[in-house]
Amino acid sequence: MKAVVQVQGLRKVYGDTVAVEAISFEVQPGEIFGMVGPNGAGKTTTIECLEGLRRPDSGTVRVLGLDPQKDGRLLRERTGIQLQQTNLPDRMKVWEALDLYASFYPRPVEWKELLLQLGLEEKRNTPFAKLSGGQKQRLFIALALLPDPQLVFLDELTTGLDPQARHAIWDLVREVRLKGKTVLLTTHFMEEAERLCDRVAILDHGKIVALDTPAGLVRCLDETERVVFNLDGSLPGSFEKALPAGIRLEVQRDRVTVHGKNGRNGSLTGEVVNLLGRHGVQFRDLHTEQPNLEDVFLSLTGRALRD
Amino acid sequence: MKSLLKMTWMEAKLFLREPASAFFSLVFPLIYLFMYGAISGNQPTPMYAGRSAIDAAIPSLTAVIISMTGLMATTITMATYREKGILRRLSTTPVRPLVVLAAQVIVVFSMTCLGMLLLVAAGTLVYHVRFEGNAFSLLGGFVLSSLSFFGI
Repeated sequence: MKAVVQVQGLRKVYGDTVAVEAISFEVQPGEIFGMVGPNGAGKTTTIECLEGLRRPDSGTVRVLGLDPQKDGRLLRERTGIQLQQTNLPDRMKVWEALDLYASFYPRPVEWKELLLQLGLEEKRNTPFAKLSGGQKQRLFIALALLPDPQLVFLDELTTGLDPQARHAIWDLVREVRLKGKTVLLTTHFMEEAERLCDRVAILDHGKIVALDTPAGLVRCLDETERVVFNLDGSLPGSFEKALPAGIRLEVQRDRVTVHGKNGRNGSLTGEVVNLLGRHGVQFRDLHTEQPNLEDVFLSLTGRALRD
Repeated sequence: MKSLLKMTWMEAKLFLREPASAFFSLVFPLIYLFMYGAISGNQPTPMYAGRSAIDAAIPSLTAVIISMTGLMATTITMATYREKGILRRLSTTPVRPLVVLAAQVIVVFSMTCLGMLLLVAAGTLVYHVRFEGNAFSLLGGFVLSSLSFFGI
């Protein structure tokens, strides 16, 4: 099948700052494609170039086979867009917003059904300003689904929401995909990208630094497994000496973290527990930590704070 | 066309739900009229060449309505829409910007008309205001001045 989104060498400059530099990727039909990256990495600029809200300085962009700059109106009839910072008039009621926006599209879906699906039925007469963050976000998703789009853009969908609302919205996005729609989203939450996306592009300084399935990204990372436990008493020096090469020990007060890979003699966890037993070390709360997308992200984009 | 109708109807509802704009174009001129009537009475005075103070007040209050709604309602609404990202959201839909503006102008113009009708009706009923001059030139002047204020 033909790619829903094709981006080739996209570049966008604001004054002296290069927001996006030579980005290329494709999004396949029916997939949930995620873009993650630190603030200012170029996620929103990229998504806005795809939506036709910004004009790229160079590169080609095709969305549903259309050029967003030339066929913007046609494209807007076929895509659903949820913007990062957006609002409705405070006194507009939920049903009025849906009714009004439905009138903009040639073949809108029945908005009354969307109200039910998104659990906004009770709020149909509530003015926009009185909705909670999660309810506003659900309303925006409803507005994005109104045109019965083939492709939905979701820009930082769950930023500022509580965990309940976030999980509810993830379920919604999965349902959207089940209806055969393609979803392109940006997020700050690695957990969100890991749980939701089929493929993830990690952006930094306007470039794609990695692009793969979440599992693939984690596998590529040469990150080690971690075994963490708390000490009762002290750690004998002989324990550290007995550790095989390539295993690193980190001690913070009575909390010990062992970094290493599963070695020749079985799993790292087994090895550590064996050693602890042999050296008579009293420990509790032992658990292992697998590398996740967040580790991949931090190893690729660094830990320094961005503004 | 369908979106223009919906948009206009929506904007009209929003206009009436916004206490400030509805108050200044519909209620405030009436309050002013009655206060003016209570203070200066409705006797013909030489100052207004034999007309009463109310006769003189209605045309000027009409001008107040035109400028209030024309200058404030449209511009403030559009500025807030822009500031809050409401226009940006509209720009993600196929709706034409002209539709958004047209709906605004239609609503504000209708509200201005409504304000003036209320004022004249109240003047006629309570103070028996007499109408002098040409109705068409009055109408023309009203439309022109309203539109010129929207222009700003």
